[in-house]
Amino acid sequence: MAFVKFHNVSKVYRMGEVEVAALMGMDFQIEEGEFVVIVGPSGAGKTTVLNILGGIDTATSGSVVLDGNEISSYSEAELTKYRRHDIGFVFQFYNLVQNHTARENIELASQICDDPMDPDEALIAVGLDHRKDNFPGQLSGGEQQRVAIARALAKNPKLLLCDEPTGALDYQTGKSILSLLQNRCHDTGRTVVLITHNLAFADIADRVIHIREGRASQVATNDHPLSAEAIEW
Amino acid sequence: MTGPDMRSAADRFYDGTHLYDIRLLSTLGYSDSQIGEVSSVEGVENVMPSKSTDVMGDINGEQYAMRVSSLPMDSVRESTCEDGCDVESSDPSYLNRLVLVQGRWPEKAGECVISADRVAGVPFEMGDTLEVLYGSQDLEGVLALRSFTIVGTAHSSSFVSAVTMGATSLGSGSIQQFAYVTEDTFDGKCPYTELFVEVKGASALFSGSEEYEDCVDAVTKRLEGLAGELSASRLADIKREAQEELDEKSDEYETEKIDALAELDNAQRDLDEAEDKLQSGEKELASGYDEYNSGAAELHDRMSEAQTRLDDAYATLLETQAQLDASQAELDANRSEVDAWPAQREQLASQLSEAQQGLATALEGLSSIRELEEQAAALPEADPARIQIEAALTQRSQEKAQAEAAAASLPSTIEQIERGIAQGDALVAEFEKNQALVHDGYEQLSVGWTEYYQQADEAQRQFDEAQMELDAARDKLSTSQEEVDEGRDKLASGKAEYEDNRKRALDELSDAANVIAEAQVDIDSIEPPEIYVLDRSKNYGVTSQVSDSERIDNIAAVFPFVFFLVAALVALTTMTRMVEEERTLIGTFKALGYRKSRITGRYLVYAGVASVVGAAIGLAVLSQVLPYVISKAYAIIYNIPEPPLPLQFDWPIGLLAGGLGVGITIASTLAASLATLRETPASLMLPRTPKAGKRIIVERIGPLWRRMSFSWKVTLRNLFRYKKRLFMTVVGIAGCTALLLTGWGLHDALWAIIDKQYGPVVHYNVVVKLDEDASNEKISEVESELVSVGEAQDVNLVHGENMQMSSAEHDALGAELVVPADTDAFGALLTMKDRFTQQPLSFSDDSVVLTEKLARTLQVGVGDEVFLFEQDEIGNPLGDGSSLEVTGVMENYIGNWCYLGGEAYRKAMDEDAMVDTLYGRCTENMDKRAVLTDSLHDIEGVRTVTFNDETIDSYRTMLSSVDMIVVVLVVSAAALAFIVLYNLTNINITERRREIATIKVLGFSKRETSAYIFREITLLSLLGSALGLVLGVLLESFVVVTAEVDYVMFGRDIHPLSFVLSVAMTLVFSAFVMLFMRRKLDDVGMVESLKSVE
Repeated sequence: MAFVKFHNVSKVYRMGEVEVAALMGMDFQIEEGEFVVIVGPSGAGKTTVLNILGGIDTATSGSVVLDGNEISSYSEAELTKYRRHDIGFVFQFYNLVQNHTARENIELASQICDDPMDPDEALIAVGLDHRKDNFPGQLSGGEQQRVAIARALAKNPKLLLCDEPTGALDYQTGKSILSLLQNRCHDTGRTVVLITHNLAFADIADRVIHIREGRASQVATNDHPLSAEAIEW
Repeated sequence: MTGPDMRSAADRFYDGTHLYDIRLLSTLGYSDSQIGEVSSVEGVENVMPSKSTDVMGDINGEQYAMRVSSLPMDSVRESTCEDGCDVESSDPSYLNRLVLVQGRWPEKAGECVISADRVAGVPFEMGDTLEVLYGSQDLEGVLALRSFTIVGTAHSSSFVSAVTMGATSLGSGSIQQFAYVTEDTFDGKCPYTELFVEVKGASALFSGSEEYEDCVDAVTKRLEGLAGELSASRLADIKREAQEELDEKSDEYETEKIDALAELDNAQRDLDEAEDKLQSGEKELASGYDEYNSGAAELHDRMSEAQTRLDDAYATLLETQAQLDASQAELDANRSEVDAWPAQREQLASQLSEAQQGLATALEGLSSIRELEEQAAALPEADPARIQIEAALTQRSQEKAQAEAAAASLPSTIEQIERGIAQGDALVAEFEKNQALVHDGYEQLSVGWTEYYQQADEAQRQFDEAQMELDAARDKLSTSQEEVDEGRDKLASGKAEYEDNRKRALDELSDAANVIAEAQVDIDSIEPPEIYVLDRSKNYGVTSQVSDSERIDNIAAVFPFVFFLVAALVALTTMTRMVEEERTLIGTFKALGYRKSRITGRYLVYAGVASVVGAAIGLAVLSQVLPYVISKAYAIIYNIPEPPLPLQFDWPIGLLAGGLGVGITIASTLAASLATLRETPASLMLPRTPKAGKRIIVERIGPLWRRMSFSWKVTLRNLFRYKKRLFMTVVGIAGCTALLLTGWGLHDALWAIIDKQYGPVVHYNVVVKLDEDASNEKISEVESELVSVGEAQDVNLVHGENMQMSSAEHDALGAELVVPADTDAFGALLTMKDRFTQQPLSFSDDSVVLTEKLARTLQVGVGDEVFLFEQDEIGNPLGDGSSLEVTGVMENYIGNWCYLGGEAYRKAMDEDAMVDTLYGRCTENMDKRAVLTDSLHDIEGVRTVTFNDETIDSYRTMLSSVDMIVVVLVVSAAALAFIVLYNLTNINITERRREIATIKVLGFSKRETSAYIFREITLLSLLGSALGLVLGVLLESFVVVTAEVDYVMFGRDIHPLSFVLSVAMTLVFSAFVMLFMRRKLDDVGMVESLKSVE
């Protein structure tokens, strides 16, 4: 039984008179503990997939199942609970609360969970133990993204979703973030889904889902993924 | 703008109704010549003379101190009024024009129109009667009628304040109602008491403005200059009139004197005549008596003569009687013989017949014997037959002898017997004859007696007749005597009466002479009248309307300040945010080479247009709505017609207000855009470095910080992060709470007037005023009525008086003086205590206790000196005043009172305080009260019976109008709270969309998300409320002190509930905003979090 299963998922945005189909029968599966990279050009619908998977958007039709639960049929309240307990989100622009210290940003997430990781541990895990009392403004982009990852991890989510986590970072930092994500995935067996337009990232994934015009054009598994340190772009 | 609007409405009303500019009062009235004199003063346009007097009137049982004034009703009747404000009349000298509200104008004497604005405790209808109870002066010669029919109600610009229409010496000292009547409702002898003057050109000027005052003052000065002349000419008029009248009276006196004397003479003559008549009557009576007496004597003579004659006759008769009786007696003595005679005669007759028989027998025997003898003799002797005959003859010899004897004796016996019989018969015949004679005598005597008695009767009858006549004569005489006596008495009393009358008449005449003389002295000593030249500033309504509108100005100066502060803050934040949101755009423009001024100009134009439009709308709406609402509230106190909408716009103030609004907005836009433009285009193109998080002060307090929950830490962080917003929110909310607290506090302050006055301070509920010279009997009668009918307790006797008081710091003002007869017992009806310490004040015989407002107005405290004056008709202090030392200042809310101990009064006034008022605590039962009122009014000398409930009711009515202001404040506060909170929450949410989206993605539920954002707002609201309470207390006390009217002290304490209510309402407002904003919060899509920073 697949951990994540998209079956014939379509998403239609209504923009005034015009209907724009973002997803048109998306089908793919992800196994638990995999490091998954979803790649595709801009506008292919990868963010929509992430949104639907992350419970921040709903599919127009089709079914989405995570760990045996059909989230596509969830009510808003159930989706909230789902996001709260099952999903960790890492944003392109980190989305840290500027007014909170690094530790507080993590606490912000952990305090609403049933079984959170200790914020300090989460910081240790991302290697920012020493910056825990710093405000985001006092941290570099990479550090901020680490804090964001720590925040996602602290919730002990079933699924860690990352939306272009390196998009706002320089090459080196991006690499280290990718490495961190890959390591967290492999070390803790946590399923990580990362979307990017960068094909180079496909090499480090256990499973690569290529998306084109609202469909999964190709789903490939990588038996020997490269280390994040190894790839270049 | 309400203040100016109110004033201009007033000016419009005053102009429209031709309210006088100057009022000339004279203590002795005016005659036509003075009216002429005044009319000819330069600047005087029109003069309207009027008669007026203050009276206590009763309408359906409710009593009012009221001013009755005359108007030229002919002009009034033909006047027209279209808009309730401008009264058109062809008579230019018809001033103080009335605006008819209901009913019709008076058409004849005794009809009146009264105020349409005065709130009546007892409703009345057209046709109801207004009873004049008594006046401030003797109404004799002032009012021709004492009972008016209410035919209409009207607005009067002379009395624009429906609460107090001016000062009077009646009742509680203020006029409560007016009545306009026809001139002939006043007594013909009553002169015009006042002249109303319209000043040329004054109506074109704004009433109360400096130009107006200057214009009127010029005329006032001229009139004041003329006052002496007016006074002198009026004096001359009065003296002349009075002299004429006196002369007439004096002439009348003279004729009356002559008449009286002539009448007296007539009376004297009548008396003399009566005397004469009486005397002749007496004379007649005397002669009558004489006649009577002589008649009586004559009668007596005649009587005695008749008597004598009768007596003689009687005597003769008696003699005859006696003789007859004697004869009878003699006869009677022989009667037995006579009576025995027949028997004797019988005897004699039988003797005779016996004798005759014997004789015959004897003779026969003898013859027989002789025959025998002859026979014997014839026979021979010895014949036997002879011997037998001789033997029978011998045997019959004796018989023969006897017979021979008898024959011999018997003839004499017979003769003798026959003689006896004859003799007896003769005797009997004689007796019979005598007896017949006596009988005849008796018969004659009887006739004589009869005659005698007849005569006697006749004589008696004649006597009786005569006597009767005499008696009648005597009766007549005695009647005459009585008449004469009566006449005598009558004459005597007539004389006495005459003497009395004469004396009286002479006394009266001399009195009249004295009166005339005195009147002459009086006329000679008539003081010239006081002429008061009063402009509108002396009109209570006009002045208090102006001061109330100024009070609103004061308040108006504060509220806009609060609103402006908030508006400025709102504008500043909004514009700053707008500018900052467009930093990239600004950067782009800048990079494209636009000049700073161009870029700034773009925002300035935007801000300018927006704020000008906003200001225009705000001004257009608020300059109409707010003044309208507030004027409406004041319209209950002031009967000035509302100006037509749209209200006149006060350009300077409007422009100032609008300009300030626009200026602040533009200034803040300028500041924000300049601040942004200072950055380089490059940095502008980059997303603005989010405001860095900072340690906050609270964090430094380790133990506290550590103990706080995470969410609180976050909240506090956020609060301190946006200081501008914190400040704005707190100020906005504080403003809201302050306004609410001001509103509720004002409400408390106003209602405290009633709640704190009646109950905590005043315990009596009925006041009965009597005539000043009411007797002790009347007072105790009233007291017992109060106790028995009204079930009153703690009835206290006091002396009450309307006086004027002044101090070294302040001019005289009206105060009600109360001097309780028993200072200790009075404590049961009035609690005297200090408001601050709540300690009771001592009140004894020499205490002088002022009410707080009075003391404050006079600026005096315990130990300071105040002066007490008596007052005249129009409330001017008289004399130099008496000094008093204040011994206490008591908590009191309604009215200016001065409570004096008896000794203090004596010291001040040099006389004892006479009881003329009763205070008491009577039944609450309305029916019983009605009975009480009726029975009290039946007692002579009772002037008014007032129950506090009436006062409380009228205050309630007044106060509920002021509650409108509370509503305005609450609505303003709500609006303010919504604007501030909405704007801030909106900014908060907009600025933090990303953050909100992020926490939503993190799995925050709706409630948690709202709490995350709104916790800050709640905290700010609480903080703001707390600050608002402080601000509110200040603002409220400012408003209360500013808005306070004379005679009334508003409550100084804000009720705890008001604090609670203000905070609660603020929180409810903010909760409402939050509820509203939650939707916006929900609308923040989580997808937002994925977007790149713009």
